[in-house]
Amino acid sequence: MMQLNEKLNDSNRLLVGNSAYLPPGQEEIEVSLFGPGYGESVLLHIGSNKWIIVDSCIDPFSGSPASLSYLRKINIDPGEAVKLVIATHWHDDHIRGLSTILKECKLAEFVCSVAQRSKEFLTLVSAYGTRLMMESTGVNEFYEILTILQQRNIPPKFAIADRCLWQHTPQPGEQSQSCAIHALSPSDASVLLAQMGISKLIPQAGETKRRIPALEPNHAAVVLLIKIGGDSILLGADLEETGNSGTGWVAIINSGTRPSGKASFF
Amino acid sequence: MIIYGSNLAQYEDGNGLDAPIQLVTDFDSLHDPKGIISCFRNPEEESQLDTVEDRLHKLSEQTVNIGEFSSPIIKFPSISPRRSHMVSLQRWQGYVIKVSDISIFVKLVDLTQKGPDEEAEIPLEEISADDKDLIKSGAIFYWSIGYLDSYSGQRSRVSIIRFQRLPAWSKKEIDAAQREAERLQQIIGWK
Repeated sequence: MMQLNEKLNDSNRLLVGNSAYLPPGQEEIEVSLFGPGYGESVLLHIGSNKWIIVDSCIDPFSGSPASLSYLRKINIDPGEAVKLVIATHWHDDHIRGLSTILKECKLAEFVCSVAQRSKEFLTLVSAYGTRLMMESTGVNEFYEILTILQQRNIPPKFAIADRCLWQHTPQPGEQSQSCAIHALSPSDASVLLAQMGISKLIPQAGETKRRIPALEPNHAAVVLLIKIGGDSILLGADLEETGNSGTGWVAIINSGTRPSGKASFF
Repeated sequence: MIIYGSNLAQYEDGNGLDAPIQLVTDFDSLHDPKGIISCFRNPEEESQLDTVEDRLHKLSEQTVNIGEFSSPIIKFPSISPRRSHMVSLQRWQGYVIKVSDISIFVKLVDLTQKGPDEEAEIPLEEISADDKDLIKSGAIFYWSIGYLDSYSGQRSRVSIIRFQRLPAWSKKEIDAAQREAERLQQIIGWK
């Protein structure tokens, strides 16, 4: 069974998934980063043709989400293969095209930060989501996502620190690895701060319309720890460190309930 | 059909006639000043007709030859004025992320060709004085660079930033957003 460490260290060994035009092998773990330099979108193959999409960005050549373009290129049907679509936070550069992804990934669950559960956030999405003041905004995408979930009658799954979002335990005789995806953030304090920030963004009557500003600092981003077999992958989203022990990365380090282990890929 | 608009119309305005511009489709009337008058006259203002006729007579002395016959109507040559126009090479839609004392930090979406968003710092002195009050976090603007062809035929390179003037949020819109949020909460079970 190919382990991630082995794959990283054995640069001379040619794996099927090393080709941009071939899908990874059934036991091959593949992490693909898309974006103009920052890795705004992550596509993970966790084995046995099970895929997870974290955030989204647009492929400038095809105009469609980069992760979907890649899956189509290697002949993978996203409608069947993608199990989870995760929005770590709602900044434009991480969410653009996510509603298209969710539309195509018909069997996937949708995960977002619990900070987006409040009525204030929904009011914000309702106010800005239907009024295109700019090419594309994270709020417009979220409005589309809510519409899809509404049609499917499936609520989103909310991520909060130390919650297990998804897991797969192989059945006896099944040739696949165990997999568990945990959220390491946002912390309780971060959720409260983010919700206060969201409340301040709700427009007031008489206020000039403008594009919705980004919520700064980014308290409510969802950091993910993905354990596949004996390997761990840490995806940091854009969580910021604020110096407050109850928020950001310090809160993750200080957590007594976070899953143990050290990431070999981050 | 030709529309003749001339300084005759101004004459008749001055006399209180309320039909300053008419369509002249009867070309025979062009030979007869009274015919012209009948085209312009207001039937309720017959008494002023003579005054108009006198003035028209003076006007006819300024007759301009058009082809083979003379017309009392002075037809000004149609000159299409040369205007300055811009040839856009690149266009972005942007919004303000942060404002400092000397510059604005902005995010730009390329409207000319698809590509990733870009971030930039623009000195405040690049912004027109009329737009300075609009500089706030979230304010939307358009930035075009290209050539400006002036009316005199000169081409110069220009960079134009114009802030969008958006209306204010109304109470009706805010109330509608709150109702929609409540509806979504109930439908998705998001409580």
